[in-house]
Amino acid sequence: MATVTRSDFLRVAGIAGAGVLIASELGFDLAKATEIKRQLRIAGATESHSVCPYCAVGCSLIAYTRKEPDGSVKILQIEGDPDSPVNEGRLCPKGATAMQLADSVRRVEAPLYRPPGATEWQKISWDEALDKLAHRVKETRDRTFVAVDAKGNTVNRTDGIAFAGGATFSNEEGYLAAKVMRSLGLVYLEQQARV
Amino acid sequence: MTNHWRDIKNADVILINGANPAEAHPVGFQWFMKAKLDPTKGPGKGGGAKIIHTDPRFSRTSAVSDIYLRIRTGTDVAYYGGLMNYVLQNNLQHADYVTHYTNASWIVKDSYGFNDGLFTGYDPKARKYDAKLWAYETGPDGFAHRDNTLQHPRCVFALLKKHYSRYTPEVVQTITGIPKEDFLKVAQIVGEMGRPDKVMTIVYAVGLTHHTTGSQLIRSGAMLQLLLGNMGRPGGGMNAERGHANIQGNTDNAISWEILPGYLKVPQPGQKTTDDYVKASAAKKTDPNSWNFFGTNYKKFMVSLLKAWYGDAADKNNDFAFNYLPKPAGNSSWLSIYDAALRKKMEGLFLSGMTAASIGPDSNQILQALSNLKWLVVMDPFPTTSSEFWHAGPDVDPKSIQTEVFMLPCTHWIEKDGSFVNSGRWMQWKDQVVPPLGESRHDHWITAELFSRVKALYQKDGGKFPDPIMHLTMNYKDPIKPTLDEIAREVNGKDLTTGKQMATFAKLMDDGTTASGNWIYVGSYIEGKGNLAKRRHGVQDPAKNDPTGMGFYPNWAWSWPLNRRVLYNRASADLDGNPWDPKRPGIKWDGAKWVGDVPDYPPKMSPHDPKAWLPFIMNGEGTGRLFSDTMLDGPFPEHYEPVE
Repeated sequence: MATVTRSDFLRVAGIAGAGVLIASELGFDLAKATEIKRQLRIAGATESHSVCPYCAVGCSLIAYTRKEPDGSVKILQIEGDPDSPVNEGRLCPKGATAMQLADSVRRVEAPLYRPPGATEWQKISWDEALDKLAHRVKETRDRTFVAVDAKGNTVNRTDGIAFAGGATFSNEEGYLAAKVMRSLGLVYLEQQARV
Repeated sequence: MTNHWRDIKNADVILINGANPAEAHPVGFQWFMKAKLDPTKGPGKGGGAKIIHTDPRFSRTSAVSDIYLRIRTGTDVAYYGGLMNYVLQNNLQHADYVTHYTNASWIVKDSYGFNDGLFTGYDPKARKYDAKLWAYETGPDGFAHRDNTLQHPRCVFALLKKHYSRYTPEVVQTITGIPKEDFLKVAQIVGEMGRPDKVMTIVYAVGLTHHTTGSQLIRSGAMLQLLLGNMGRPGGGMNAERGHANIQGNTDNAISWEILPGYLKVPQPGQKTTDDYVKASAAKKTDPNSWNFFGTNYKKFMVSLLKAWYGDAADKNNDFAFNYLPKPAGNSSWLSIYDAALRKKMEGLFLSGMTAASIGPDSNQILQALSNLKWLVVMDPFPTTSSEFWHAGPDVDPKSIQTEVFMLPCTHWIEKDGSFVNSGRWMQWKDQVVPPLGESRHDHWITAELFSRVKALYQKDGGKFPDPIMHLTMNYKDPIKPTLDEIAREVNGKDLTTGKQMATFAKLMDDGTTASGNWIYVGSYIEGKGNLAKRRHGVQDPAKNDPTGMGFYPNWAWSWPLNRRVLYNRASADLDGNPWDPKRPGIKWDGAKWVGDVPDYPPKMSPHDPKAWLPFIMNGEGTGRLFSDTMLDGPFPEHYEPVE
């Protein structure tokens, strides 16, 4: 197995599978042509490993990227990873189109700010947005902090801020969010598991 | 899931309730179909596993099932209860398993009772039970009295049999709407799964969990699995099909109001010390041979968490900074956030990778709640129904909405690395494939930098109880740009005396010499071997990578806890340590050690040792609970009409 690469394997499988199609009425080997086309698509590409962003089956993905002359990185192809014991290379229609999420044009590309009562978004720098927000967090925390409850128990909580986190967070992002938010005194911490 | 996706191929019967895996988890569903098409699986002489789909809605899952039962919404306790009754009336339970691996022989106090639809101890004014009335009868040593013949009228087995004798096929039909004949056809198949050489899995999803009675719906399925001896076995278990890519990991890491990382309970008001906390939170041992591993080590896990969060500021002198942890006034779950906002008690809300406005039972109410906030932060790669609520909602006048809104664009999954934990608890690492688009930033960089700015404000101006903010560890190379690799190391934890990554949570200490951000992840990122979630030895070489042939693939990614692929797997082997079904071994005692899956048991503890622990090492009984005084709404699941 060590000497056969994944693409070798697919190539061989493609040719073997083409046996029945060799006498194609088109006059050429369709499967071979498809495989050549696929190879052209990912020729010279970098192979990376990912996991499907959608459901909790956790299908493994292989993403092919290429560095463009202008230095940007372009995703060429995302496909199921045949080595995975979870999906063995298979993807559902949604996962198979994960690339549409990867290069979606519907993204928000810069921070936006909407002051109270405004009718439009305003552009705002990261510096200004985080500065304003840090002040809001501190003001609300100081205003709604309960150090000792009515029964005299030390509770040290911030009642006026809530955090709802995504199930699309990686483990590590989720952990950091829980760590930081609890330490700011938050007790209202929730996520999609509840809803 | 107690088991994992690929393991479903090992089942003889697949009982699906409140789920539609053929459409919602199509690639996971291949393992259901593998079982169905495998002639060595199935009831009787085999011929393929039987899929039984019980759901109000006929879906694509029903279309490929062997039997489809249309059930009235929210009545699954009656269905599972009816199946338990069928098993018990016909003596089809796995007798050895029930006697030795469940709490069937535990004797319950005579204050337990069930009359007129209510258990004893109900206080109609407070609308609460006093669960103390359902406690075990104990001796002076605190251990429960047992009767291994299961003849005692107050042993759990007798109480169980009595309780579910009411769920006759006729009653099941009346409550669930499933015709008696169809129910009996299923009961016969399910009943056969009590044989040691047969195994059934139960699969469920939000069709059970989303009911107000969800805990008991699921519990009744788990009890059926215990009666049939199917918990802990390959091809068995209780398998929740979770929705999002990392809903499992984020539950483990506790973005949930009632838990801290690793399912440690959130401290409550009145708990003044870590000892108070542990006393109120940890399970107590009720049998001399129960290890009660979680309960016994609760304090070690908690102190190690506090050390991970507060570092040197958490020491013996301040009870490891226990007072830094906030204690909630009461239920602080999802709906209560918006309820507080409607009452103008909530000022600010972070929505990070989820939207409030289009989920939940009443969107108009949520929109009103968002309008009541002083400020709202949406961290997301895309505009959401929440980020745009102030101008795009129905009949809204932006001028009248005083909420200040921040839309902070985040990177999405393929623009950063990090791990996703799938429904089967497999922690799989992914690469950063492309750089962030435009000015978008990683969520954890936003969190870290915001925190650093808040901290600077407290340093400059002071404020309410700044201690936990001042002392929170941010021991990353760049504290405002931590890498996910650094965080993964912290989650695993280290020995603070040697500085080395911990390999097992069994070595965590309660004296402040170890730190671990999440005890159930200890072993995922270890000294010398690095991040095990990156491992990729899969089906490219099954002979090498799946040595047991059971589909565990132990060197593909990493599975919590300790890379165990089937939880409670000590129960997959009999009292002598041999698999109940030699064709489907979980673990096996080879005379010197347990082999197979990573044992859910001390690796070298002989089953013949008179002091051998009981099989379910995590709870106080050491056995699976057919009866539990830890449930607020009754020790046995009882069908009540859910409000939904």
